[in-house]
Amino acid sequence: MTGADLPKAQPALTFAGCPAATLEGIRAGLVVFSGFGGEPGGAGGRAARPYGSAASSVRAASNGLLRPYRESPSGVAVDLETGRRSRLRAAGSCIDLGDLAPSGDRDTACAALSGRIAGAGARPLFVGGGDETARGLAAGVCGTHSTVGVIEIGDRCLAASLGFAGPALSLGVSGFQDAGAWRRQIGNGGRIVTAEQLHDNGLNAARDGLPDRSGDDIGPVCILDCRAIDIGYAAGCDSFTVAGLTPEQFVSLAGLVGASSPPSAAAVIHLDPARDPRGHMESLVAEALLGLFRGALFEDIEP
Amino acid sequence: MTVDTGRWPVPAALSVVPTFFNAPVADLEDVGPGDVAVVGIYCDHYGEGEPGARFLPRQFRYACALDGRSPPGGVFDLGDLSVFPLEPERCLEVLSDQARRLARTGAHMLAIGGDYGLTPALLAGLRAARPSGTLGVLRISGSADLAPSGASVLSRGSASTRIRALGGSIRVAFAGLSGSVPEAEAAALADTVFVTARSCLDETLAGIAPLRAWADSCDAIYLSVDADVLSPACARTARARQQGGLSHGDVLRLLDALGPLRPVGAEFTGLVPDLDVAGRGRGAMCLDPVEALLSGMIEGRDPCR
Repeated sequence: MTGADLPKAQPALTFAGCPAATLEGIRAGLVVFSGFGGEPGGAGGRAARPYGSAASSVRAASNGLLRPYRESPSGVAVDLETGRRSRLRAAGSCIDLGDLAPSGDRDTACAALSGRIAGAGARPLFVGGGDETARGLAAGVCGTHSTVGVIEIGDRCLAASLGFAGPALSLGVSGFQDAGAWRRQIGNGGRIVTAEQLHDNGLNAARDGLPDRSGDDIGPVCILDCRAIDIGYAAGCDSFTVAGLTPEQFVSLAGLVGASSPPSAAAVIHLDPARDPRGHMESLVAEALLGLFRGALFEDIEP
Repeated sequence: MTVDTGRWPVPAALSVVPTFFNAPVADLEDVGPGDVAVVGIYCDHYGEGEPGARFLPRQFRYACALDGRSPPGGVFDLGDLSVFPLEPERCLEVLSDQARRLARTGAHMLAIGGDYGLTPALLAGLRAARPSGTLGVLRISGSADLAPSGASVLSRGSASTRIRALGGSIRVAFAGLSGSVPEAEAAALADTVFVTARSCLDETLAGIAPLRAWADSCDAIYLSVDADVLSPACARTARARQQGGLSHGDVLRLLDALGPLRPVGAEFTGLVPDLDVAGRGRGAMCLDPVEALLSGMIEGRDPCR
């Protein structure tokens, strides 16, 4: 328990302070945030529990991280390390659909919603749930854009295990793996960069693995699996990952992917803030998402 | 070992009143020149973030009791300063008065807990008691808090601005800054000595040379360390922060590299501790950095540099 557990009135928040909207508000180019509550699916090392608070936690954390922008009368914030000046884009880059708690087949619900969003030319961003969220998202987007790839930051070769047959890039893989999924991913022309390679060679290990994209390509589906993160740094996940990624690596990888291959869709899975009373996991996930969609959410300002 | 209180067993160390660093309890009249008076501040009500830092003094005392470290000579626990959480003007006035009276004894104040928004009040009192010479305020924190003075007189975001406004002979420098700041704050930093967290992580610490030169140009130093200079993995603080920052060891290394600052006052603010009775959580983890502040103050018992 921490002092932060004390009850304190909080206003209803949306992701990055963007407008709340309904399905009718979906427009081409928008990032469309939606939370998925309910019970998780997929295998988990720790006892299963609901991920209901994942999206709301990420919403709150994203707003906290954007404080410098909100407190700036000009709307411009300056990164003290790099000197980069940027502004949060006005409403029109992102909307928040609220939370969806499907009572039936979660894969189908995710696929239907992501297909509708992608079909409108927008970019779905789902937070909450487990593998079924990723599976549904990939299915919905692939049903709309046939040439899409998958980039995952996770501890497993998730794309292959979910039945995705296209080229996939897995970043941060660690621990024992499903040999069949590993072989399928390589066989499909995918690549795997392990956590160990990232520890040894830094971001260069990932940079070398990122696909070359021509300007008119559809961006990849990005899966941010919280199981990638070492349990020693952040506990808000349903499994124990030892020798996984540090929070800094996770955030940097998301920023790198966002800069080199702006995603057509993304999902955050296996986030369980209730396990992390420090709130560290939701904070780093929010920072990773802001980095992943940096191009859509921020505009750089020339000095 | 536990003691049976008749209702439930408690750790033996907690069967007595826990104090900071297990130091003797004292009152204002018990401290004199060269002593270090450790005080708690039960107030984070103006910090513009999650509450909890107000509980650090209590948790820190628990952590000290269970840690069992020996109290250094000349160090006293003066209890918690009086605060008025719901009356900002009165709170400011009373804190300032207490800091002034404490400084007039010749003792050095080490304040634990609370929020940086209260620091201008403490410095106003310190300055009133010791008006001569240049007072350098070294703020080791992830954020500069240089927003324009707002509606609240105890707002954290404008604390450094309000310290600057105390008078021309107070100079503020920063170490450990990270992340983004509003454009106006970046402009306010332009004529300020500061080093970023990245410079503090550099193995050679060559980047902190401007801080050493700045410290040498001051007649006395007030050292203000905030938990938000630590990486989010190391400490929970009131406000959300980006990844990055220092570890506890990095803070110790930085304090060591800055040399004998011999501060006339110091504080540790912004940490939201675990509320476990044993205080073994993040309160205990910060014992060493705070003890480093204490050591620096003991070494610097002559407040004239």
